[in-house]
Amino acid sequence: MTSEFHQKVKQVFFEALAIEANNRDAWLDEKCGGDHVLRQEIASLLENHADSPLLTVSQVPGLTDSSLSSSGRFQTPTFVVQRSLWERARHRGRQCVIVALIVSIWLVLASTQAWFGAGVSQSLRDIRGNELQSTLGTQTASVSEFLGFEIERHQACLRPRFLRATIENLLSDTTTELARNDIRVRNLMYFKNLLGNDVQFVLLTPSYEVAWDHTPNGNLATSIQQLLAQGKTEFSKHLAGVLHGKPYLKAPDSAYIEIDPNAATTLTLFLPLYGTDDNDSVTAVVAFRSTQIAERLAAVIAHGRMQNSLETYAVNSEGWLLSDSRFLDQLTLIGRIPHRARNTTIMQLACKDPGVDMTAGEQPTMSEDQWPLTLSVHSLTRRKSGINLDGYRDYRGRKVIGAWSWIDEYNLGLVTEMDHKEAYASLDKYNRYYTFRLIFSTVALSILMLMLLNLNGHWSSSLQDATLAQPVGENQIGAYSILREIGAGGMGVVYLAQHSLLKRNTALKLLKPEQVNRRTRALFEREVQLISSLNHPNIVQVYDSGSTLSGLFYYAMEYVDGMTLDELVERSGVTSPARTVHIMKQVCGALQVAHSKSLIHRDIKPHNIMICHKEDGGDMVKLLDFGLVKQMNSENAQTLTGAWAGTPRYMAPERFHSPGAVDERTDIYSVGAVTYWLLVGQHPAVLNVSNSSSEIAHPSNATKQLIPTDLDQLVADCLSVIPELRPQSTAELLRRLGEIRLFDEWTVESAEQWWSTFQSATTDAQQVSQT
Amino acid sequence: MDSAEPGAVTQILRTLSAGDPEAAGRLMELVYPELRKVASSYFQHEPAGHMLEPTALVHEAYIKLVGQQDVQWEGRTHFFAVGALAMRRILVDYARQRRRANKDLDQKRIELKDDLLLSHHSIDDVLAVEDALCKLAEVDPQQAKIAEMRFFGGLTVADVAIALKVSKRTVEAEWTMTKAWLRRELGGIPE
Repeated sequence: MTSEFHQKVKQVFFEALAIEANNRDAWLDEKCGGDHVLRQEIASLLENHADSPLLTVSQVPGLTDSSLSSSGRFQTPTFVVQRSLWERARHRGRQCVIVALIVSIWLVLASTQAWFGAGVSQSLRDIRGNELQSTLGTQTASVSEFLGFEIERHQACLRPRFLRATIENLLSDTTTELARNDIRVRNLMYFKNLLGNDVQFVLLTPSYEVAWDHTPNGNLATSIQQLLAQGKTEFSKHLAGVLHGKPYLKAPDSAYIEIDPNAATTLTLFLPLYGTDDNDSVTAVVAFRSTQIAERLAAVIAHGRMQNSLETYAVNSEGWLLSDSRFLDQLTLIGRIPHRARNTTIMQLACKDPGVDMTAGEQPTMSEDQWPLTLSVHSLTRRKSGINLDGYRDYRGRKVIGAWSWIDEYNLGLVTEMDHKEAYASLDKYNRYYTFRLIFSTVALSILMLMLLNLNGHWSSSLQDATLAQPVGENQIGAYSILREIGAGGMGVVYLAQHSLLKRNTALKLLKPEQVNRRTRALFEREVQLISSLNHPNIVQVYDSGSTLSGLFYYAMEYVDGMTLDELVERSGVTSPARTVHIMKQVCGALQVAHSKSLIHRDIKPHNIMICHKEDGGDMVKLLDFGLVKQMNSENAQTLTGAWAGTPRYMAPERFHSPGAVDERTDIYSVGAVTYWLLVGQHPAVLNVSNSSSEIAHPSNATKQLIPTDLDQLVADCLSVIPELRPQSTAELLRRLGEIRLFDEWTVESAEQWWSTFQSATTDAQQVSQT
Repeated sequence: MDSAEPGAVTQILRTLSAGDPEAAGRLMELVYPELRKVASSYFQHEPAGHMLEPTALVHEAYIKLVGQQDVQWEGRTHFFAVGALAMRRILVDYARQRRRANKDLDQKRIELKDDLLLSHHSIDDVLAVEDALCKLAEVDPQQAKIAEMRFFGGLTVADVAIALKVSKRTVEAEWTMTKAWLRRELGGIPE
């Protein structure tokens, strides 16, 4: 970049500015020809060109009075960015909190349900367990009682002395066969009387020889012999036990049945027969075989059925059914028992687990001899009692829960079982319901969560966009969309903003967050309150104030589309006395309102007074910036900027040496200074202590303009160093303004004419707070 | 360094208006030390939350040097013009100093103190402006001078016109472009 190039750029730049914006691009293309570098340079400069003043580094409140002094930052305020990071984090943090909250609620719900459900299931288990066990207990008791009774009954038969004596004789070698027959006949009659006509029994010697066989086909005796011949078996053990006085109830088992198939439906009682001596020695063993007992046992068990779903059955030591199954028909149907000869399941069925649920029609894959015993029966074959509430397959293959006990005395076991499904039917329902509820609540909660997150997103976009580091145009503060920055001062930045609903242009003044502390906030608030308490058409109106969620304080004011008095003079030169008076009357009118509330503006200067075009014609003056306003009567009133509050050039001199001593006349001095500026085009030299300042204070001495004497003197009086020599109140000032004999009039027409010339050149940057 | 005699500056200002070329240099000799004094006392007692205010300092220096003596309008302008240059030098030095100091400071401490943060920004701003002005001076000294006077001296367009002895219209025009140029130049500042 050389200086020649720069000069060329300058030239083209100015020419381009003169061209209307729409035609500019075309004109540029033509002008630059093929010089892309030049074109680019001009374009970028034009981009950065704006009528608003450039922002400067620093700002002395009131010290500078030109359009330059709308100062602040160079670009989008950095404070906004800093806030945004925290804001984002805070916002995200909030989202996380919500999500965490919802998730934890769900977890709590789910776990309570699960825990509760577990409790319910546990108690149901307990209930079922109790049911099973109580049924089993009852059945066991019944069975024991029954069998005990039968044994006792039979035992009783063997007790009478005569019987024992006769049997002894029977067994004695010395008895004749004739005598033996006689004994037999008599005893048989006896037994028949007591035990029924179809009684069957075998009498054994202590060495297990058959002494008397009263069975239809001698099968019992044969069976006993053959069983004994098998060696040391359970049978021989039990039989030996009988010799010691322990009755033995023999249920049929496979070995037995093999020998004698008819034995399947019988129970055999082996009872000791004592001798007549007093030694209590066993002289014989009587084995009663009875179908009845077996049938009655089955009946006892069947009688004990309480519920439809509870099934109790008896098994022998091998696991074969000793009682009737109520599923007889079903079992035949599914082929579980061979198509029977007898109408019973007794000893027809081994309690084996088919591996599949045959009631459901499933076919077992293996043959029966490969099946294992069912859980309950298997335990019984080991003489162990037990209970299972989780579920296992019964001999049909159906899932059941059950309890079982081994009755050692009688060598049989009892099983009580219940259909698993039925047992936990209610729980199943509950579980299903629970699962459904869980799914439902999960879905509901996630929808809720999504909604909340979405809402959060909405909130953030509408209320907190002020915090996003984006070009100013996309900012939003409260209901206001920020369009652009129009200036800044020590305490705040002023933006042109638009109310989102009203679409009204407003000036939004924002307090810089890094300067926010209690003191500045209080001052800011005071400023807002003071201004809004003043109601005058020439005082800029405050519409609104507030703070954003991110902590930015703002107030929204009337946006004045005009120019400051600074610019007025700079652009169009000195103001005619008539217009000056017109303007200053308005200023004084506004000031009067402030003074009436004991508020001293303290910073009246051309830069703080704006003039705009009234819609119905004429000049409208607006007094801005009450940031330095001090309440005369308030003791703890402070200003942000201390001693140098006010613009020295327009500041009453007494403020230099006694900054605290302000009253209306301080403002009046400034009014005079502004008037001077309007008439002369320069500000009055300050810091004149000498009384003989008449030379300087009279505008007529400084300008070629013709100034009416009244006005000239009025200004001089206002600029008097000694406050007492100035007009003492705005009322007096206004009066004197009214009394001025002007040379010409400033009419609406004059104003219109002026505005039509200068309208297009207004900048908006004037509405600036300088404090 | 002794303060200048009361009246000495005023004298120079008067001669400046009269057209004395050397007067500017002599003025600088007197203004600069005074300004430095003012500035350093300001920097030392820098209140929290304040920005550096060069024009206030220049004004203060003016009061100290010229006081309440009768000076013509033009004289004051010259003072401020010179003051602007002096202020620029002082501020830039100070800013550079502060930046070096900040680099050694514990990062944490910088973040904690609000005013440091503020100063930190204005340091960057000052130095950025300084760089931009130097760059501008290479291609257009007059525009750079105008910018300097306005930034550091707070002079109005009219003041600048007087100080540079050119027409107001010229100043306005130059300033229009300078603004655009500077805005573009400074737009690259981070944050």
